[in-house]
Amino acid sequence: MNDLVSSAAPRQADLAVRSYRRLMAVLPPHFRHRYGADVVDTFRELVQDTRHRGTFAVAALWLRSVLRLLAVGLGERWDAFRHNWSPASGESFQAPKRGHEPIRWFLREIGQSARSYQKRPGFALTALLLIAMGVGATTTIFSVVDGVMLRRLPYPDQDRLVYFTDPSHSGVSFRAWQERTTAFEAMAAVDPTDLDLTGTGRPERLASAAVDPGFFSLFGAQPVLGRLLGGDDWVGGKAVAVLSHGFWQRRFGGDPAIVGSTIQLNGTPTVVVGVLSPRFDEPEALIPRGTAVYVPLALEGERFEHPGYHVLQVAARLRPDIPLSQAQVELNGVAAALAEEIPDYYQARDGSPRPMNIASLQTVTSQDVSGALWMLLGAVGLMLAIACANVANLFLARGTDRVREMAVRAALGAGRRRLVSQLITESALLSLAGGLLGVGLAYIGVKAFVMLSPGDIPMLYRVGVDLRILAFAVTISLLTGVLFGVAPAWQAARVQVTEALKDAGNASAGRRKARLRHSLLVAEIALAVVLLTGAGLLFNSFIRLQAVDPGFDTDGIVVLPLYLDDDRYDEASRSEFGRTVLERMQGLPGVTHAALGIVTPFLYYGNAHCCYVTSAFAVDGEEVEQRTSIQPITPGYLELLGATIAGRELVPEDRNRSPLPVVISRRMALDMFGTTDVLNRTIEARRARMWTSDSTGMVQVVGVVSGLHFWGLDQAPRSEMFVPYEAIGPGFEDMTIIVRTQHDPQSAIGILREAVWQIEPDLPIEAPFIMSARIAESLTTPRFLTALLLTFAGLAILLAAGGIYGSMLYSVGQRRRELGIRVALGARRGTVLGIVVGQGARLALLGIALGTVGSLALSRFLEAMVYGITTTDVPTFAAVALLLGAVAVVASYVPARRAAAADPLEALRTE
Amino acid sequence: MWPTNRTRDDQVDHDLQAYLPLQPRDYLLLFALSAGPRHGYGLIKDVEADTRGEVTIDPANLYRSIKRLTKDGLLTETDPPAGEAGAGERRRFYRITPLGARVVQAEAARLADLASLAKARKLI
Repeated sequence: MNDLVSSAAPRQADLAVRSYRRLMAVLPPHFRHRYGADVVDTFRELVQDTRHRGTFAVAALWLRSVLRLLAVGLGERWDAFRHNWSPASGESFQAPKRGHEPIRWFLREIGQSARSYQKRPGFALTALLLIAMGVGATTTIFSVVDGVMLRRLPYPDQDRLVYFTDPSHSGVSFRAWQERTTAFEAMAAVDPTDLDLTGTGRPERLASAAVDPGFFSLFGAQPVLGRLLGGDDWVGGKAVAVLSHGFWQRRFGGDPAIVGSTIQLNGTPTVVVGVLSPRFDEPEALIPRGTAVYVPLALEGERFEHPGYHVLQVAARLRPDIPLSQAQVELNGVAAALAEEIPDYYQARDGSPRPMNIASLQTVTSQDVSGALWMLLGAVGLMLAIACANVANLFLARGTDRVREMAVRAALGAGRRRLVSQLITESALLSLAGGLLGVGLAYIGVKAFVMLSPGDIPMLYRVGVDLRILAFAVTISLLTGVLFGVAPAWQAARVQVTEALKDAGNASAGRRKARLRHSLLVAEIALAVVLLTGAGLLFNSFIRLQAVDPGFDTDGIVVLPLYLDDDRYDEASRSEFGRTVLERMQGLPGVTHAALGIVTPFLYYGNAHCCYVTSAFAVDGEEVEQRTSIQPITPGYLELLGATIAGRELVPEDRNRSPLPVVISRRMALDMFGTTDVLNRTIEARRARMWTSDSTGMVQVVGVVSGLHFWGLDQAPRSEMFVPYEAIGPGFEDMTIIVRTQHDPQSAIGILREAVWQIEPDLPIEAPFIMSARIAESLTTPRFLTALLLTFAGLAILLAAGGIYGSMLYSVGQRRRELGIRVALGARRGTVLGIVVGQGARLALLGIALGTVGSLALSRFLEAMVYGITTTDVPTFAAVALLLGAVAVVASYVPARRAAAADPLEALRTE
Repeated sequence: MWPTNRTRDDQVDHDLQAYLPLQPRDYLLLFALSAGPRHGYGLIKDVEADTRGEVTIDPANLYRSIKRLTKDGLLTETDPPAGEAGAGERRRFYRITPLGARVVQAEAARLADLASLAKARKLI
């Protein structure tokens, strides 16, 4: 363990110095140029000095120095600012002689601002909360976007790492890339397989990775104990393994004696040679998070010589001066060459080479979620903008009120600079306070996001509120406050003193300001429409998704995915096991059906790739390319599901018939034959021979199954071919048992598990599931996105309503005299109501129109996220317009009633 | 009550009063430099040693003080002393100016006066 501490210290020291150097930016340029390098050098020497006292001492030194650096930066900048701004204004702005003077000046300024807010706590509080909410939401989502997509991956030269796209690759492709390309400096292949840990305690299925010699160095992995795989570990199928740090801690309690000891993996005694550093993060594009065991990948043997055996994930590092596009060109060359040499596997049906593609590893890592995350960031951005418009309106209204105050102070001799500097301090103070509160909210928000989010977001463990995020939050809150606070205030400060003193509220300037306020209101409503439309579309789509019929009866179905690996089982023993286990299950109380296949519906969903997929068929001697998953199932499987079948289900005798009877999906029938009337038609499966020796590859359709959603509710039924399990099923390591029970499925899981263990005590059963729960789980991501967006949209409505209400209230106040005169002259209550509500409604209408146009332009970004509706769904757009219109009317009705109820005499007298 | 040596300083250096009292940090820096030229890190270490670890100056504030004291003419940049030149390639050294030496002296005297006052009252 001592090793750990001393080896970590230089890295931390280096990090401390580097981050300190970055912060030099807080110093004003003149100071930085003259002394910046010296400051950093001195800091480095201090760190060197402190290093031997450990990480905490370095951290404390860093924190102390950084805080003081920030203070010095502020002080120096303040000095420079005062120096530049007040050369002409004489003694009162004299540059301070001592360091603490500007701070005193600054405190005085802040005190004055605070007092001015104290006078109107309602205003200050409202603005504070608005800013806090906007900043909090934006910072939360930005933290997630930053952690998941923007931050560099933790690998050496990560910007040069590329991933070979396409779901998986064969050993033949990998070798071709290694031997025939020059654009890559290093390349690594990994087979993300699973291994069973047995022999010690409960059998456990481990996420494992068989890695080639390039893997660890490509990703800069280091051991914390023992060594990594190396040298001759790859020669002759050595049984050695490296454990992940997490697995070592979890399963072996961090016992250092693990190195050199032997564990049973897939029944093979395997020597643990090392443990990975806790700092190593799995490249999630290639292997799953939580991969526990790394073993050598022997890229030899029949399977890896076969161009159709696709199991490898491949990544590589580009040479420093080679752009990705150039490497792609080289790959296209390899693709063309292979298409010539092995046309069966590398040529598409139209004779062109099958494409081989690479993409940046960082992009690939987050690409599944990047659309949703950008969408969320856009949504909170809109919300922030709405909050900003609200704050701006508050400041405008307040600015108008303060014209008189400003004029008085100007008349008493306060310079314009003095006034503006006070206004800047005021809004900066408010926005910073709001921002601080927002950061607090974001801190909670990020925790909540990580906790509530569905588990499919990569790199989520990196998400948190750190210095970068703080800088982001402070920047946007300052922007909010300054941009929208100073501009109106500046306007207020520009009034002519004499005019303003004569009459504060009745100049053409007042009208100009009203126009500005109204424009802000319209913008606010338009933004709310955009946000609400997005939320509405997702909500609408989610409702439809939830209502999709999976095409089978989900009640009482329990699924047990098993894995019978090649090391311990062959086809005969798998077959035998399958028969025994089904017999045993069918005899259990409450079980009405039991069947097995290599997969079941919803075992995988979304973009998961699995199973045996082939495209090579022929009908009547003519080649047909049709991407189809081949699903070996036992008789009764489709009946168990309660799927809709035309024709018949597979029966036990089918396995010996020739041509082999199969059931195909309606989609396959339509795509291949153009009709669903395909019973007794024959199809030739071109490469079925690869998996089974006695099949001729000819199959005959005996049934057509329709409406079966196998891969998720949002995935339209695909092309599937169900074949008798005995024909090719035992060739697969995957085996999934599916059972329908009349009893409580949750308690049935335990009984079924026991039944399996009675036959095979060492077989891990990691993730049994209940079908109905699994389907609900497949909806968590859309549910989460919809709920988040609805929340933002709800807040947006509140903000917009508040904005309209406040603005109308203010406008009623301003027009008190006019409305009073109207009432005095005999206008009825209804007329006054109409005037005010009409004004609100007109603004709302304009906002809704603009917002609808904006939504039409923006909603196409949601295309990948909606199901069953278009992104120009008319009912959604109409509902949003109606809702916001109603909100606008209600929000202006309340102030209107107040205006109409006011005593006209009272109104006239106060003027 | 006033010690007699006060009169001499008052007459000769009456413009020194503009610099007094020195901020404690400035005093400590000038005091450290009065022993000879130092670079930034050396100054921090000297001040730390002089105050038995009571005062630690961080780099940013150190150079802020150096900037101000340079502007006031109390210290100035200087060539590295012989023998140290090779060690840190671009380390800057600072030395105290004659004015700085007199200011630190005056401040020391002022502090001594205050201390003797306290002693006279048996405070220390």
